[in-house]
Amino acid sequence: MKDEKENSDRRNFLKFGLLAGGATLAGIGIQKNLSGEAPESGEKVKVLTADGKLVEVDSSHLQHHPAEAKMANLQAREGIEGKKFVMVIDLARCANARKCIEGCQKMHHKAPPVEWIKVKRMQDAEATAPYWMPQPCFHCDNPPCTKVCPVDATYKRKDGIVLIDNERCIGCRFCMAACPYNARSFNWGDKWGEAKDSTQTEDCCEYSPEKSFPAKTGTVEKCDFCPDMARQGKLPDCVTACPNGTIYYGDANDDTVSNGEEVLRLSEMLQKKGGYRYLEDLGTEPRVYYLPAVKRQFPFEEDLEKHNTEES
Amino acid sequence: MFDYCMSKLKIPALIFVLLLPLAKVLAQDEKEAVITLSFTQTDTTKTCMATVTSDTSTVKEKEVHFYVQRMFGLLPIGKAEETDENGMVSVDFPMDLPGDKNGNIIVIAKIEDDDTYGNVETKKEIKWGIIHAGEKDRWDERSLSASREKAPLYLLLVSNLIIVVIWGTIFYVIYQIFRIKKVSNLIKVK
Amino acid sequence: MSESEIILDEKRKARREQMREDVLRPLHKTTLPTKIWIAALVIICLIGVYAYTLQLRHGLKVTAMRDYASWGLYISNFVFFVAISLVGALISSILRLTNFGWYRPLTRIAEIIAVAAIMFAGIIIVVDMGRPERMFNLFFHGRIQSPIIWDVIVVTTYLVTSVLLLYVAMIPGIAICRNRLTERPKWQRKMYRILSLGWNGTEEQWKIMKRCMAILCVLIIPLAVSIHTVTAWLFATTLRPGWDSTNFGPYFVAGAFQAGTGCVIIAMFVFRKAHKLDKYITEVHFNNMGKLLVFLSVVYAYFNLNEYLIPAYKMRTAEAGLLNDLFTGSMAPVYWSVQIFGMAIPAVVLLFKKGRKPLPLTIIAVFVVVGAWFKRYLIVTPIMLHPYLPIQNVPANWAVYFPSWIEIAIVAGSLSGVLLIITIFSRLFPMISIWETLEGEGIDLEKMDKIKT
Repeated sequence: MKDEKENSDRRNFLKFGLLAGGATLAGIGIQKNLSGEAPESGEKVKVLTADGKLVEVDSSHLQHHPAEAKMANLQAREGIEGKKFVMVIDLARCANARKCIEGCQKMHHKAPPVEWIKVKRMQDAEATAPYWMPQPCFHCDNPPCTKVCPVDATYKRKDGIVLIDNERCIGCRFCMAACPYNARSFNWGDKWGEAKDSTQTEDCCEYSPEKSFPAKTGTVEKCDFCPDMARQGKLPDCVTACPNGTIYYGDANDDTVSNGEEVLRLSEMLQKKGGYRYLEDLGTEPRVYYLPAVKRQFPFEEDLEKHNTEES
Repeated sequence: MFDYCMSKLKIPALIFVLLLPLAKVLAQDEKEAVITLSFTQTDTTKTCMATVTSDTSTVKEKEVHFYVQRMFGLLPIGKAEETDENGMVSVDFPMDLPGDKNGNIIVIAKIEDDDTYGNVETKKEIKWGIIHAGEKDRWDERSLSASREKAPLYLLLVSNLIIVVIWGTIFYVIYQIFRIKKVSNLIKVK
Repeated sequence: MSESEIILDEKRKARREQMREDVLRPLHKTTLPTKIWIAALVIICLIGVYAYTLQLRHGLKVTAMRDYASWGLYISNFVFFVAISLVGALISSILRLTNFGWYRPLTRIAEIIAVAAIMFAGIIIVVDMGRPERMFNLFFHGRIQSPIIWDVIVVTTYLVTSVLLLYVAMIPGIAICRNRLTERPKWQRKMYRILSLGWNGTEEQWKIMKRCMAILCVLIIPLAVSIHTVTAWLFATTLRPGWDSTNFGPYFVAGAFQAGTGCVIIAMFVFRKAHKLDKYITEVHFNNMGKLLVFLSVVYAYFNLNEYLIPAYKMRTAEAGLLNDLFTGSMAPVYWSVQIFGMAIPAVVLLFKKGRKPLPLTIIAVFVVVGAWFKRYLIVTPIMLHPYLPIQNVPANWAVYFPSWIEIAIVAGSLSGVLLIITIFSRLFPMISIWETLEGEGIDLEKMDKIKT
């Protein structure tokens, strides 16, 4: 009789113990859920809020990838508030690695010979040294291209970026004739300059002028300063792809530019290192500054390879 | 046998279950340090001071880096300096650094990769930035390179005037041509 | 009426009757050579249309244009068409207002050339678009700041005004066709009936018609000058070396008058032979047109001198490559042929009376027109191949331009289209404006008709 009672007591105690332990753990779990926290993936993503503030959020909190977010046309024409994007290219660092070109092509699903940023071999005079000059679209403040567009398809935004609305462009190519820097390319036909591994079609995903993707046949394209990347707080691909940190990108309102590693004050860079703009006296007021090729990091080497010899 | 084991284990097990969370909290390899930021301003200077403390005692001879939060990274301010005996270090802040549209900037002080304390960071917002908003944006003005709604007034005026005058004349001529027909109908009736 | 007046009146009536018969005779029947000519033009047009369908299907990559030479044959052809369309205003209007009476038999020819050319200018510019189906964006989203919008507005206005000028002057002629061409098919006679607006030569109708003519003649002169000035500004408003010239507006307009005059001379020669109009388009007319062509060629030579000699004197870096290419480089054969055959030879040979006889003059006019076509090409594409930044790392065909067969076919189709419109017009309507010619001889049909009624 006593044994039986001891057994049942023990059993009861065990049951109670397990129940209590289980309840405690369950309670902790329920409390966490009630506080509204989703299980965090731990990955942080920088997102630009509507009023221009940069915040970090867990990537699980995002509804969908910002790059595919539907961009209202009006928003694409207004620009990112409070920013004035600017680029500085340090010619003392460019060694013709052409990684900026590759990065840009990969980002926009383009293949050679289509290049939205070009690297040119320049030599100002016979007696002066040659140098390599990366040349994207300059997103001029007095743009000759937006002046001549008959249908308002290419436009200048308040954040300094000049974009093209490929759904309005009629393909007259007046902007290409007007650009003195030949910054613009044309989509000459179906799948023109399209990367071989690309699965894009004209309607594969939502088109946005900020993505410049998917490409539309018979319209003009060019370097767009990657505003979709800026909305995620990321630098354009040409900036991060360069192994020498040649290209700096940033916000003139912030007076700061970065090449992915260094973060510098724009005004200091331009004044201390003799910044200038290419063909300044044309009056186009480019937003890309160059730092002259003095105190070069590498000696100049001619390019022995021939690039873009064939049409894709 | 089983009963015997269980009876012996149940109390430690219970203790273990209940004390598990508490144990987690207490387990820590590194020491913790905290940086507090303070700002002083005169007419000609702005100074930012950081005080490093660890468990109410000051930490000295640690290098503190000062940054301002920017869109694509952290802009370094001044040179990184070590804390003095009181765990304090200060840096001169540039007078002309721009802020956001309200003039706010976020100052960050960091200790990076320290042997004892690892990475320590603190942020504070202060209204030390120069405000650029409120300046007239040239892209609100009418110009030749603006969109169609912002065409220069002189251009709109002259072009519309010319179009109206010339097409008005053309419509007048077309109307006259129809009058030829009308006149001929009248003659037929006659 | 006195007896002398009656005799004079009879003479005038006889002259009018003779003229009506002569001018209308070709319209009674279409000869075999004309039929073959029309068939050939239609075939070339259809090849052009087929080439365009290929371009629509595959995109503009079927042309030889690429990122550097992004404007090619279509644009230079467009400029050429706009150029020759100015001649309508020149002959019908400018000469009329300056009281050069001899031009009068030529007004119809000049006007139909102008209308046909400006129509195809509009067509060829749509051919050049990458997205022609979005053409109406020009109207829904047009920017008044853009020179292309100015061009669209002015070309449309000029087309409408030219058609009106052609039509209004032709109303009496259509009435005669309605009265006399009674053996023609029913649709044709109906067309005459509708288009003649019941013209009977009454006093009021003449008054209205002459008032319209006066207004249109004044209106069309600034329009004609505008279309080619605005077309010149498509190039001059850019910053490219070679186009960045203050000379372009007057340079283009001067060249346009010269090229258009050449076209009219060729058409004069052809219609004179084909329609047997020797009595009305006489050697005097050729002589005078020759003098006009000399004058215009000299003026054009003056503008060419300004355009090429002055930059060559300075040899600015940006322009040096282009100028060397034109003077001694790859474009030299074309450049010098154009300057010599299209401008220098006309300016010299036509100073002599023998040069102004019908056949030599027509040959020279052919030089002028062909030279004008190639000159427009020299203005458009070579400049694009000499930009500020060096052309590097591109496929070989991106650094040069020679048109593909599709471009050539489409351009040839457009040229035959213009000729086709002129030919078909000449089969349906009188090629000489009877009332205007008689007015020049002192026979005022308005007064005659008044006497009649």
